[in-house]
Amino acid sequence: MLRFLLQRLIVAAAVALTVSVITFVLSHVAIDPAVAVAPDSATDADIAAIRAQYGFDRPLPVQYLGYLGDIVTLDLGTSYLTGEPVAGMIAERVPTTALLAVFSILFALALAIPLGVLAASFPNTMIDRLCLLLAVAGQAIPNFWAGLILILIFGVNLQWLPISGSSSLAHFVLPTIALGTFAMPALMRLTRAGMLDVLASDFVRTHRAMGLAPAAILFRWGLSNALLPVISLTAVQFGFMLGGSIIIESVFAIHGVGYLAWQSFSRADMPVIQAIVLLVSLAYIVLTLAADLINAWMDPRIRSAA
Amino acid sequence: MSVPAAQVRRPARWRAALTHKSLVIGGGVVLLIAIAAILAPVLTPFDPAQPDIANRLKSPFWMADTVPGHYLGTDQLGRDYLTRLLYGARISLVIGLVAVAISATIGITLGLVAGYFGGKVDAVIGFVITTRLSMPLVLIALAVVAIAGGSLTTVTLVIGLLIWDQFAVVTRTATQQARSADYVRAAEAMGCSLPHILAREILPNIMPAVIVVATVELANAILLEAALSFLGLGVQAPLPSWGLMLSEGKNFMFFDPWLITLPGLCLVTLTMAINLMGDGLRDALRSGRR
Amino acid sequence: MKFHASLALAALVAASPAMAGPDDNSLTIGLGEELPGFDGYTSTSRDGVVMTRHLFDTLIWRNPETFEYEPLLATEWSRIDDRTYEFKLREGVTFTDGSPFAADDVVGTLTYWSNPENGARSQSSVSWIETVEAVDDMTVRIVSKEPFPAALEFVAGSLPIYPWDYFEEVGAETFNREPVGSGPYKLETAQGGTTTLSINETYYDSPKAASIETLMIRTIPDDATRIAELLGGGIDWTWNVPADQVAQIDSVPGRTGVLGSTMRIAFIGLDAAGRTGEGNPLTDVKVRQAINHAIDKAAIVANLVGGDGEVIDVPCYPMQFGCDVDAAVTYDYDPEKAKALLAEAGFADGLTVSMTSYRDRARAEAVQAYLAAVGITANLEMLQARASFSGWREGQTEVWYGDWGSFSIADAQASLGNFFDGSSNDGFRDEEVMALVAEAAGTVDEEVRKANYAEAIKLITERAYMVPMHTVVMGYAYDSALNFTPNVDEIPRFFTASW
Repeated sequence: MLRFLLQRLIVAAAVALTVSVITFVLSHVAIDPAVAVAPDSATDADIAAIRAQYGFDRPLPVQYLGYLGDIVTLDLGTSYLTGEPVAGMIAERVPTTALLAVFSILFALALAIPLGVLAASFPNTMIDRLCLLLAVAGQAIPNFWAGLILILIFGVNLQWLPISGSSSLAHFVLPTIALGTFAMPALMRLTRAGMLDVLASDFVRTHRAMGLAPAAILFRWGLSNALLPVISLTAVQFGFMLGGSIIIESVFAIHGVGYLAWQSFSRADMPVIQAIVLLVSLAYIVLTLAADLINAWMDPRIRSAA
Repeated sequence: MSVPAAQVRRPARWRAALTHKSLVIGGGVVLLIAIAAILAPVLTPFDPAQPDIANRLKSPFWMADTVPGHYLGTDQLGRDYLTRLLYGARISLVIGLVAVAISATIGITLGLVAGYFGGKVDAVIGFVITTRLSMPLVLIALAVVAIAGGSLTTVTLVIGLLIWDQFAVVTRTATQQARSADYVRAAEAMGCSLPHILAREILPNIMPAVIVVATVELANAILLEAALSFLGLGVQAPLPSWGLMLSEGKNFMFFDPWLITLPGLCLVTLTMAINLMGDGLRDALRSGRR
Repeated sequence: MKFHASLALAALVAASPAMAGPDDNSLTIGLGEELPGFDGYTSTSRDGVVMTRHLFDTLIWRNPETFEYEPLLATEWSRIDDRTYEFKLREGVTFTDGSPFAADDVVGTLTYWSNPENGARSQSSVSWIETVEAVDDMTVRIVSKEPFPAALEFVAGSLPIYPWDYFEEVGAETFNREPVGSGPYKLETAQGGTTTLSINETYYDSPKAASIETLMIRTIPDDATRIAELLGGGIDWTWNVPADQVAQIDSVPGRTGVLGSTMRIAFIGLDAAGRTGEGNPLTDVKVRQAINHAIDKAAIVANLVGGDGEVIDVPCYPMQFGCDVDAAVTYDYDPEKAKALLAEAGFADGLTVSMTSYRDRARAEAVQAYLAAVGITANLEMLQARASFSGWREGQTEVWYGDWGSFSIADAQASLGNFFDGSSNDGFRDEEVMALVAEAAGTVDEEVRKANYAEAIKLITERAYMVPMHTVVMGYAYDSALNFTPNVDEIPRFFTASW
């Protein structure tokens, strides 16, 4: 177990380092940072001075090490546009985005698990087909379009729900649906597949033969075993949520990390862009690592392989 | 993507596939959309980029205030909406297919090499795949497009260079299995060259799995392009990308809702049909193998 | 899962009638751009100007109904000589932090910001000031470098007065985030895209005294979402509504849509100076004239501008002093002639240019299509206003479909003087025009100014540096219960609004 843990940690750290190289390339190589920092009226001499002052004239590997040092000390640079420290701008907005992502994943799970179990319990029937069709549809609906349609129906025509912003829980309902719908199908398919496998296993067949009620089998053994892979996928989907929130936050004017990202993209504010790419990737790496560990801990085969 | 040789030799499998409803329905719809996209210049007399601002925001045929000839009305610049939707299908399909071709080439190559050689090569490629997976797709695509500027070519390239991961994963696993198969051993024993073994012996056998991945990624690529264009960072005006049409039409959605419902429905229909086709293919290929 | 269900339920309950509007005498405002800050000298975007008018007072102001200068922080003022104005300050005014208002606040604020090193964004608002001195505790004199006819205009419009002790203590950067003023409102909070202003309880009996107690200003960048919020009742007021939508919104019960005239002109700036790179096709006058001939301005105005928007052929607002419409060389819509001119310039096979715009996508795409019809491929990028303007100023845009509001000043100096002065706005850099405009700016002789501006307009249009397009109408939409009147200067005054 310890060896497995260590191995996973090393891989995660290596991936994180690689990602930091890529974000460094985005912000220091793909564009000229000195030109970006300089005010509108700067002359070539001014830019050269800035290059020296900020150390943009040092060799790239040296700059990269400096960049890495800054990241470790949580200095993510300053926005070209607002002049504010990027770390603060992001920290301020993380809670909103995290809340939206958690709501969306819970919404997706709340739909996916019951539907998946239902489909697996009645395989190859109309119920199964209907569930699969829902999954196919959910996958095909672009979340930004879903957002517009939800705004049109529930915000403007029926006026049941607030449309934009994040000032109350009610404000999260429409964006949660728009974002969660897209994560649902994959989770549902996996639940269904897992349940089908478990239900077909000898273990469950034996219990059924022993006369246990089907519902009891389903919930006591089936679900707990089938959900193992769903946990990993939930972590993966959670990472996608952070990416998908860019579109949803800009449609619903939710002032979170995704909205900040969209703003920075349209103004080419590189320090903010690279910081967000880096942080979301790190969050994703940590999440998948956590999912792996939970899986390992719950799966006796890996746990015992000490 | 051409039909792989392995399947042509076994027509029975394809006949079996036709009994799968989702494959027939999904494939049929995709085919229909593809034909409509190809025949767009024949099907409509209008130019998708030609404004007629005296005839703007006219309604589709089922509503009042229509103009003869414009069956689905006109947009905010008086461009024929049906024409734009038809040409939009071209953009979706071309970007989707080219991006998938690029990503399949990258992914399959990486997967074949990793699966065949194993060991350190496999570890390195595995690491590359993990790294790619840890970087959120939309975010990276947007970052690159923000630097390089949005256009049809950049969007296609960016998407193609990003969505190869599933191809690599699937090919790697399948190659690992195929490597120990008798026919590969036999080819090795006969002294066949490596490219020959990979291309002739392993590739055809992993094709079914790859085709299924290709359908999923095709749908993904189309949705990703629409998302980038919707955010204004993808395909640029006056090209009629469905995502861009949604972005242009959304200001008018309260009083002229068809401007967003129609391109949205087109997107949903196409991606849903592709996904259905993929599901059907998966089932068909699985039962065919039995 | 149960926990989540109960949360969702609570959320649904919370959604039922929100306290807003007339019930608690508050007004929720939806703006499209992020507020950059609250300091009126560095935040010169339109939304920023609107904010500073509510948080701060100027010495005098121009009554939006009578257009007369009226007392505000100064009770009387007089011209001492050619270069000197004297202001008697109002007694008993306090800033919202409780500190009393006196001459040192005026001297401190204006002296600080008229120093070019302190980076006031609009230097033309402050650069005319030579010194500001206190005669006594309640009297100040502002001395200009040269005789400056527009002095009162700037004092009334662009020079808010800050509590000098506080400003000195916290510095410009903190002040920009945590302002203290003496205006009809004070800043409560600014976070998560919502800025809340509450009424200044200690405000004196001023014509700017407010009726509505709380202003909640929300940033909603997406036009569609902002209109949705207005229709759904989430916000009570918004502007920058596309002209088509205004009439349609007006037809919705309980909602009012109004198109207000402005002094803003829209034009297409062409990179004649070649700032985007040497050998740029737009440096060729024939190409620029071709572009002028290629665009059907009348069709765009008739179908896409709305209200009382009209075609212009001059690079200034026709009602401005010195904006001589007859001096302009005009170009009729003639795509054939445009093609011929392009062929003469050696671009018979067409050319490609970069183009950005903001305000209205439909108009920008219409221009793009007109250009395409004569063989010019314009790669159009729609941006937010600030990004688009910076792109032009930094010389990254070849074709810029932008607009200019002249700070609502009725003098060609405010339009021509900002685009033909060799500054970063000036993408044309015509020495002759620059000399004419500079001379006009430095004299009070009306005849000289008129003659110079007329000559400048003739040269500018002859050399086709820009395509003058149309006047801009501003679309407002709000709750019908709100008493609100749009002003021609495009500065909504919520202190005069009421439920």
